[in-house]
Amino acid sequence: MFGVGARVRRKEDDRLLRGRGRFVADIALVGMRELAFVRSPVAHARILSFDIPEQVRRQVFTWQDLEPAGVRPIRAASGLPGFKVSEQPPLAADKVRFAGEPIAVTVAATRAEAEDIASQVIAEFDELPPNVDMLAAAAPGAPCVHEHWSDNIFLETRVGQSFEKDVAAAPVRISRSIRTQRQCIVPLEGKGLVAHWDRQAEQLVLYTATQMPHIVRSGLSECLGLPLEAIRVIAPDVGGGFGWKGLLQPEEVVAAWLCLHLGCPLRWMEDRREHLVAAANAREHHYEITAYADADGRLLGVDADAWVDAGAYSIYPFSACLEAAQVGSILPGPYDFPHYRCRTFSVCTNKPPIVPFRGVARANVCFAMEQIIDAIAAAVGREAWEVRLLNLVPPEKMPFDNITGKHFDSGDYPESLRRAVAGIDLASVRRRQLQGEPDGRLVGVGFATYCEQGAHGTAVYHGWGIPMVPGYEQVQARITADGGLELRAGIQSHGQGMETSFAQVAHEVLGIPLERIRLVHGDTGLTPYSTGTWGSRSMVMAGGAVATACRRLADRLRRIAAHLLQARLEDVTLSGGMLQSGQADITIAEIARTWYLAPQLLPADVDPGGLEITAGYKPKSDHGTFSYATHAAVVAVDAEVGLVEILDYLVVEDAGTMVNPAIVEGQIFGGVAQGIGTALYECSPYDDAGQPMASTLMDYLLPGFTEVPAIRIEHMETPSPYTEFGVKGLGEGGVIAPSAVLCNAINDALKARGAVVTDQPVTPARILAALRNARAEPPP
Amino acid sequence: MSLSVLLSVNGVAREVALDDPRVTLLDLLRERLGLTGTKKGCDRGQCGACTVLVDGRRINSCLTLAASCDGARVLTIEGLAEEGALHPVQEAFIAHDGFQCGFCTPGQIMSAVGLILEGHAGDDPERIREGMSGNICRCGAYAGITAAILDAERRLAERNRAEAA
Amino acid sequence: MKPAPFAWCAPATLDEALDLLAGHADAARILAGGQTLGPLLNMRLATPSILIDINGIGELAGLHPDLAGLTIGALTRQSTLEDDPALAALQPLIAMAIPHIAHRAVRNRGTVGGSLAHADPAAEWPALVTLLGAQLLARSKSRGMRLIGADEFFITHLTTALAPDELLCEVRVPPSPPGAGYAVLEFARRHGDFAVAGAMVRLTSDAGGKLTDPRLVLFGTGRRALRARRAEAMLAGASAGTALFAAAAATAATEIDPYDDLHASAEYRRHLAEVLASRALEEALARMNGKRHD
Repeated sequence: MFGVGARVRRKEDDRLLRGRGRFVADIALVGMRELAFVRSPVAHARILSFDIPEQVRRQVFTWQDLEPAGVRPIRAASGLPGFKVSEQPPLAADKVRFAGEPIAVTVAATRAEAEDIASQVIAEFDELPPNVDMLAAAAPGAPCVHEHWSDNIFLETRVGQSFEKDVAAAPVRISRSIRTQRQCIVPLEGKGLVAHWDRQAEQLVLYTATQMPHIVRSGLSECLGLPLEAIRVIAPDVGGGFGWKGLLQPEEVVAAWLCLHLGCPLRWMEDRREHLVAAANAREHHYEITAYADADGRLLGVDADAWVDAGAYSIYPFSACLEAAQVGSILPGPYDFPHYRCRTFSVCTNKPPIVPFRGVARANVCFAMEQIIDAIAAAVGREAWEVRLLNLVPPEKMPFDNITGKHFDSGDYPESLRRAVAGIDLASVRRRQLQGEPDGRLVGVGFATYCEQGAHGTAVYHGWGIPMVPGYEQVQARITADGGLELRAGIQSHGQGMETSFAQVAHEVLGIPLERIRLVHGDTGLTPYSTGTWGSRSMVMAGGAVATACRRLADRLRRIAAHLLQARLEDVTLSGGMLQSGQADITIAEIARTWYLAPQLLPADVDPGGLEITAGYKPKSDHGTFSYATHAAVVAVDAEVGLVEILDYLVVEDAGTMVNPAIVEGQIFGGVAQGIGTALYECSPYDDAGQPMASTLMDYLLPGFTEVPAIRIEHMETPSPYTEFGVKGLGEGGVIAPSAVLCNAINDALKARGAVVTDQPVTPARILAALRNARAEPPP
Repeated sequence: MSLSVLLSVNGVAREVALDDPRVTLLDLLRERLGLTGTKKGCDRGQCGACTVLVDGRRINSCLTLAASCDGARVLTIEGLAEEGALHPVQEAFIAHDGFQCGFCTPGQIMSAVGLILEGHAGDDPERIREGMSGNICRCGAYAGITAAILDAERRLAERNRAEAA
Repeated sequence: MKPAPFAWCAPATLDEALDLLAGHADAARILAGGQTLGPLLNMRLATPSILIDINGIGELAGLHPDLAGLTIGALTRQSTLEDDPALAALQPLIAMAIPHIAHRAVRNRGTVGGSLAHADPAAEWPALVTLLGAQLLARSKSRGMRLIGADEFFITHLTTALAPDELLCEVRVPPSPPGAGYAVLEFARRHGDFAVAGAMVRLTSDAGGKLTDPRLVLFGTGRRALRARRAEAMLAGASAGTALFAAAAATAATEIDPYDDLHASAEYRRHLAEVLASRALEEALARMNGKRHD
C-alpha cells in the first residue's frame, strides 16, 4: 500500500508548504554580486558600436570581452541532412537577431545597481528589415537572418509520397489553413542561476534552475572549453519548467565565464519582463492541410504542409527543428489511414529561438488534426465522435505500427472515446442545444483523441539527429548501514514528485519504508549522467532504472541472507524489508550492518560490489510509450461578445500503470490548465518591427482560478508491454488536447450560425470575426 | 541617504537599515532577513507569489516599499505554522493536492489565510475562486487549492467553535 | 526589473506633504498604495527623483457620510470600502464596482485617490466619479484648496487637471437618489483584469414611470471614461423598454472614440460598448424595479 499504485502523500510536501524549499533565488553566497543583461531593443540589426561610460566600463562586458577569452558560440546542429547551422554567441557579436537578445552584461552589488549601469550602456545599430512572419520569411527573396545562408529555412523535411491519384475519387475533400500563435512558457519561477568557483574542488559550481543539469554541464564545457570534471551543475528545487528549463541558456554561459573571470560568486535572476520578451518561444505553427475521406468519414489520406516559426537560433541541445521535424511524424495522430504526405519547414525568423514547451508539437498537431476530423464529420453528416471511432487504431491491432512507423505499444483508443461520449453525456447536450439557453448563449460539445509518445529511446532521437541522444538511463542505489536506501538519479524533479514516486518503486521491490528512502537528484557531482527530465521520460526511464538497481540489490541481499541464515538461495524470499527462509529471518538493516561493519561474517564469494550499485535501464522497445486520452468539453459561447465559458471538462486517459495516481492526476489537471491557456488566452504577438507586444502578465494572459474549471478524470490502465511495471510517460499529455477539444466545442456551438474558427487561441475577437464572416458568406 | 525601518516579522521585532529606498518589502524579507519562503514571481503585482499578510491583510510584497512598512506587523509563510504542526490551510493543501512545484505555494497559502480572515467568501467555491484570482499557479492546481480552502475554512470554524465552548 | 534611483520621504502631515510637493513639483511622485506606480517604477517607465509617501497621513483616509453625500479620503484603501457594510446602502454603485478592481491583495493597498490621479480610462474610479457627478478636492501651497468636477478632472489618458504641486485629498460624492437602479458591467478576458470595455448605469424614474436623469458611462473605450450624453438624452423622460435601450446603446457607441491595443481593436471595443450599454441598462432597470437583488 505504499508501492506502485499507491496514492501516497508526497515527501516533498512538507518543506514546500513551510516555505523551506530551496530554489535558486534562495541561495546567497558570501561576496555574491548580481548580474543584469542589456538586451537588444531591435529585432534585426548590425551592432555598430557600444557607448559605455568610463566610470562603469569595468562592470560591463560584451562579446568583445568574451570572444578573446575563448568563449565559443552556442551551436546546436541537427544531424538531419540539409540542416543549416546557426551560431549564437551568448552575447551578440556583430549582429542582433531578435529583440531581447543579450548584447551586454553588467555586474554590481545589487540587481538595482546592475540595472542602473545597464541603462547607461548604449548600443548603436544599423537596423535591417526584420523577418516577423514565418511565411514571408520562408518566401524567396526574404532578407536572411543568417547572412551566409541561402534562405531562412533551418530544415525542410518530407514524409511520404504524393498520392493524389489514389484519392481522386474520394467523396470528401477537406482543406484547411490553420494557425497557432507564439506562446511563452512562464513557469512561476523564471530562469535563474548562481555561479561560483569552488577553490577546494577546483570546480566551477553552477546552481541553476534547470531540468537537465548534466546537459547544461556538457553545453558549458563546449562553450567555455573547460573539461567536464571542472564543472559541477546543481539544480536545487525548481519552480516548474515545462520545457523552458530544458536547454542551455546563453545567460548561463555568460555568467559562468564571468564568474571565472571575476573570481566572485554571481547571481542572475530572469525577471518577468525578460522572460516574456526574450523567451516568447513555442508553438507558432501554420498548417495547410487537405484530407480525403470516404462517404462514411473513413480517412483515405492526409496531405499537409507545415511551417514552424523556429526563431533566430538553434537551441542546445534540441535544435531548431524540434517542433517541425516532429510534426511530420506525428500528424497522423491515433488514426489508421492508408495515404500520407507531409512537408515541414523550420523557418528562421527574427524572434527568440523556440524551446520545447510541454507537449512539444503535439498540442499543435492535435489542434490541426482534430479540426480536420470534425470537418469531415460535418461533411458526411455524422457526429464527430463517430468519425473518430471509425478511424482510431482498434485495440485488436495493438501493438500497431502506424503510417510513419510509430509503434503504438498498447491500449484501447476507441474505448477512451466511448467513455468520454458517455461521460460528457452527449445526448443531453444535443437536447440542450435544441431547447436553447435562457441567456441566449450557444452551447457546444467537442472531443479530441490523441496519443502521446513519451520516453522515446535511443533510435528515435538518433533518427531526429539531435546532438544529445539518450541511451541507458542510470540510477545509483545504496543501502546504508542502518537499512535506509539512497537513490541517485541524473533526472531533475521540478513538480513531478519524483522523490516520492521513485521511492514507491524502490519500496515495491525492496520493502524499505518510504521514509527511509531518499532520492538525490539534479546534481552532476552526485548523480549518474542523464539527459534530464523532459519528453515524459523520467518515470519510465529513471523509474525503470530504480527498479533494476533495486532488483539487483535484492539479489545481493538474498545471497548474503542465504549465507547468514544457512539456507539455500532459492529458499530465501524478500518481502516487507525482511529476508526469510522458513522460520528464520533477517532484516535488510541487519544485512547492511553485516556488510559495512561485520564483513567477517560475509560469505567468501560475496559480490564485492556490496550494497551499492549503478544500474542502467532502457525499455524493451526504443519507440517509447504511448499514453493516450480522449478529452471532451461542453462550452457556452456568448455570441454577442465572444466570451467562452467551459461548462464541463472530462479527461478519459490511459497512461499505463500509475505509480502514484495523485501525482498522475496533478499532472493532468496542470496540463489541461495550460492547454486552456493555449486554447483561449495565451499569445505573444509581434508587431511589424519584430517587437514583442506582451511584456507583462497583464498582456500575456495566463489562465487563473476563474478560467480553469473543475476537471473530471476517468482512468484506464493498460500496461505498456515494454516497461517496468507497465508504466507510460504522461507528463505532457494533459496539455495536448485542450486547444483542439475547446476549438471543436466552440465550432459545435457556432455551427447553427454557420461559423468556424480555425486559429489558436480562440479569442472573443476571432469568434466574432467568424460570426461576421458567416453572415457575409452564408453556407451554401 | 539612510533609512531605518522597524517591523514585527512573524512576531519578532526587526530593525533594518536601508541604504537604498528602492528595497521592497519582498526584497527586505528575502535578501535582508533571510526569509526566502516568500517568492518573487513577477515583481510587479501580477502573479501573487509574494503574498504576505501586513497588519492582517494580504498584500503583494513586491509592490510595497519596505520603507512604507515602518511599524507594520508582517506575517510570512515561515511564521504561519509552529514547529511540527502545520496550519490548517497547509494541512488542507496536502489533503487536496493543492500544489506541485511549490513555488507559488507560499503565496497561495498566505492569500488563502487572508481570504479566510476577510470572511467574504464563505463556502461558495465561486467566491473563493474570485477571491484567489490574483494568485497564479502555472502547475494548474486551482481545483485542489479551492477544495483545500473550503476544507480549511471548515476546520478553522470547528476549531473556533471548540475554543469558544 | 528594479526602479531607477529615487529619494523617498514620508511626511507626517498634509501640510508637510504639500510643502514637499511645492518644493519638487515635476520631479516628485506621490506614493500611496503603489499598486499602479509600483509596476511603473519597476519597469522604469516612471523615474521620479523623489517619492512622497503619504501613507502616514491618517487624515487623508476614511469615509465620512453626511447630508451632502459621502466624502471619501484619497488615501482610503479599496478594501476599506469593500468591507464597509454601510456602503451598499449609501452608494450602491461604488459597492458594486469595487470587487471589479483587480484582485483583493491589490485592493488592500490600492487607494481611491491613487486610482483617480492615475486616470487610467479603463479603471473603475474615473467612471464612478464621472457617473456620480462627484467633486474632487485638491490642495496645494500655491492655490490652496479647490474642488474640481469629475467632468473637468480627467483630461485624457493618464492625464488629469491636477497641477504638479497639487495633491488630491478627497472625493465628494452626492447622495444616491432614492429608488435608483444601478449596474456595472465589464468585459475582461479574465477576472480581475482591466476592462477591455465597461459600462455603468444609473436609472431613476418619476411617479409616471418616465426615466429621470439617466446616467450612462462607458469606460475602457476611449481616452477617458465618458458620459454618453446623447444616449442619456434619448432616455431622459422616456419610458424604459428594450427597444429604447437598444437604440440608446447604439447611440452611446457612436459617442466614444475607442482605441486599438493588444486586447481589442477599436471596432471591437465599439461593439462591446454597445452590447454592454444595452445589458447594463436592462440590469439597472431590473434593479430599479426591484426585480433583481444581487
